[in-house]
Amino acid sequence: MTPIRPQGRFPHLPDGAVYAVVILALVFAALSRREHADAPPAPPALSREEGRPLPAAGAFHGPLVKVSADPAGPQSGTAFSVSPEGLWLTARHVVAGCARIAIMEAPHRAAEAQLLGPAAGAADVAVLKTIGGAPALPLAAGEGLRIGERGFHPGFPGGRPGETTSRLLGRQTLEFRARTATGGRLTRLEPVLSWAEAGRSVGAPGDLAGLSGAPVLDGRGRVVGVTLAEAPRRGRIYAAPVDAAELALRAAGLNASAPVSAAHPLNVSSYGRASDALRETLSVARVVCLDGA
Amino acid sequence: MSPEVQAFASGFPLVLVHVVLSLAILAGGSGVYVALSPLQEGVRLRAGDAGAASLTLAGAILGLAIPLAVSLTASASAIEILLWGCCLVVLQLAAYRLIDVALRPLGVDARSGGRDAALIVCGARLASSLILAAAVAG
Repeated sequence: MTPIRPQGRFPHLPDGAVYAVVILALVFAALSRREHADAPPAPPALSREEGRPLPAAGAFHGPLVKVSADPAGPQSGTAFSVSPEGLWLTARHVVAGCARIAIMEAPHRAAEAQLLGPAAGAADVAVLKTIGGAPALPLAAGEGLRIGERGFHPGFPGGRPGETTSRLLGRQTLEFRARTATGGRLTRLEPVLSWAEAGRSVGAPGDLAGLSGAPVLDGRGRVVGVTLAEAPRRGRIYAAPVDAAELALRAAGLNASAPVSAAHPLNVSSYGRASDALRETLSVARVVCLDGA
Repeated sequence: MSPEVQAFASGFPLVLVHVVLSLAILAGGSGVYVALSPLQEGVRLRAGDAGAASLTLAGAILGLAIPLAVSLTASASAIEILLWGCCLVVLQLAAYRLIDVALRPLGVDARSGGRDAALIVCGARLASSLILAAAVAG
């Protein structure tokens, strides 16, 4: 190739400078348009600060086990109560392959839980059973969601108390890859709700690992989904729709419309405190895998 | 109407919108590249000097299409396709420029080199586009 002098009607623009200016403008636009609906950091689990609610007396009636308080200790996620009789929902991948599953009641204390229903369900939602339970969160069954609707995800990102808020983008199909018991590869397509993250509790880790299984609550405090995964580079959180949670309950032979306590409304300015309250009453709890199968 | 036909009837118009939008972004990005590229592929092709110019231009267009295609699969709406697509085109074009600058000290200069230099530039561009595509896979 031999050099050719420009023949266009316009002078040849310095392309590198043009791209640099456009990229800077895009970065500025992204940072200035970003919603900062962040919540204050969650209080430590064993806070004895005067005026804080007295932690509930033991919610569980079965045997308790001692668990490491290290957030980086056992494989963990989030579960939430759907019946005060001890029924919980979480993401199936959090407890997949777990020989012993437990719901954390206090930093060093947990109640063992059993996985109910089929080992591999249609969706990435699992039902757990404990002896004794916590106040249940109501499922927003059969009610349509609106694009742009706000969601709240209280849980345990990185194994520590924390929460995020998001806005609904729409439905999507996610591809989950897993290994089967015989060593084969399994690819499963799952319809999910896609949410755009709008804020999180200060100090929550970047990838939100540990928030899997957390409820997605609407502004009225009702469960509209189960948090499954995050795509930080796309600013998204994926969640199973509430229909999948109902199907998982039915597959476990349970009634999805059991009576529950009233929902508490949430909004952008209060979701941090509301999430703290849900964790204190154990309606939202940390689920851990005590040892892999 | 069978459910399959119903799904097709509701999904196909959306497919068309998303495909046309992605192709428009690809065409726009390719146009910007041809207008600004120091390799002046457009001028060379019109002048009949198609050898190396056709290689670098083909690599540039394919390199733009790869991240756009991956972003399309991860996008849920036309607005997302537009937003991410435009950003990806700019990032990819900037990557091309950086590659040109980075390869020059190695004696690879597609402006004055032949097909061999163009082939190396083309490969580097496709490699960068694969990385960009993975970053937005969702």
